[in-house]
Amino acid sequence: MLSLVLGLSQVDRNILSLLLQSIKVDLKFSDAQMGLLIGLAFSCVYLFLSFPLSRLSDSRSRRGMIAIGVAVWSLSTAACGLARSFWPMFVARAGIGAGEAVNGPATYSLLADSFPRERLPRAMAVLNVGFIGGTALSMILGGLVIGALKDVHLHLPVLGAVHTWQLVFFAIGLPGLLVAALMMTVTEPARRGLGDHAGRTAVPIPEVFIFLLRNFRLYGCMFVSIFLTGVVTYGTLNFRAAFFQRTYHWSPQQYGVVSGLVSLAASPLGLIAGTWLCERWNAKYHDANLRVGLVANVLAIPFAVAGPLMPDAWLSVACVAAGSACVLMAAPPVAAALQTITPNRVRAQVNSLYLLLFSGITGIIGPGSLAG
Amino acid sequence: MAVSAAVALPIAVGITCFTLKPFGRMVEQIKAQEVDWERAPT
Repeated sequence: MLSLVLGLSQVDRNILSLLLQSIKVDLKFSDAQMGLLIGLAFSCVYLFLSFPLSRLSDSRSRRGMIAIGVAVWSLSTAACGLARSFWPMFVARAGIGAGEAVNGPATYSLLADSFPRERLPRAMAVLNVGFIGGTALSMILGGLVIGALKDVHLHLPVLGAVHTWQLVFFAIGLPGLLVAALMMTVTEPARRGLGDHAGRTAVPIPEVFIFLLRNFRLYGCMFVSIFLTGVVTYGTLNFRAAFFQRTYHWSPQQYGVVSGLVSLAASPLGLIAGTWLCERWNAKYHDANLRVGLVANVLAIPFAVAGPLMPDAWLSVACVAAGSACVLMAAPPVAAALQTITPNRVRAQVNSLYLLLFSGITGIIGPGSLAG
Repeated sequence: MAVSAAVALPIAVGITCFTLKPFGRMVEQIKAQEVDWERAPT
């Protein structure tokens, strides 16, 4: 269920990119405005709300928080279809960011209480499949829905003539309400590992940071390492299409299809390998999770370095595939490690910092750091 | 891209090495607490 929710979040987040041109022509938006809708409208709200909302996830029902998040981003996606000018569309996109800000931290915290520690990497791997599948599905499903609705001409009482792109937003957004209702059928697990925070509802913010400072060597190093990996991952991801176009003269379509297929094939391999190794080492080492992360990053180095230097496009694709598999090998054990060592009442908050660092901040810094 | 990967990833690997010991110690403590809790009289 959590994997489905994560997949749905990716579909709602990415569907705009498929509808860009239709919206631009119909509503006469400039390229800069479209850029703001894709990036700033979503990311700003996501960055600002993630931590405050994660505090609620540490004290309230995480199941309820996720369900509310799904409902908010689903309604906001549908609201994008109602927008007839820039600012209503901007607000609707911000709504998607607000809904999704609650999802990651609450999901990780819920998973950590639902599975025994030694099985957590496997649960994280399944969750990652939802993320990867959702990203791929957003393009496939979006394309299918656009194709299915392109000849539908509706004239609604208040909206007047409804364009295909509006129908796509309704068709993608509104079924999310069903998923939100289904989310309420998931059992909220009892909070484990409450430690000093048992009997309390919310831990004051200073206490959260005192906890992190007290364990600075561990959390500080983990976060810096995650940040550096994220910078390379996101930077490479954003530049790769242009790199293949410039260096190997591949068309964006050709690169899109090949990279999508490579990602769908290589990602599960990495996730399975990481989970398998972590579960084997867990019996032998207390630090098995981070050992797997370490091995995965060491294995990723030659592929990440050699990929852009390959004389042939297909050799470069092979390096990208192997590198992606190695990077994803580290994802479930490292995420599980964070859940293992973090007390329950601050877990969602620490997760929000982790997700902000990996996907939020590195998404902004990564591309810039790799330019040139 | 190659240079960034060649610089950032080895640093990430090096930093992860520093986390192994404190992480292992913390997990060991958590496991010990769980055992104590299981043995505690109800």
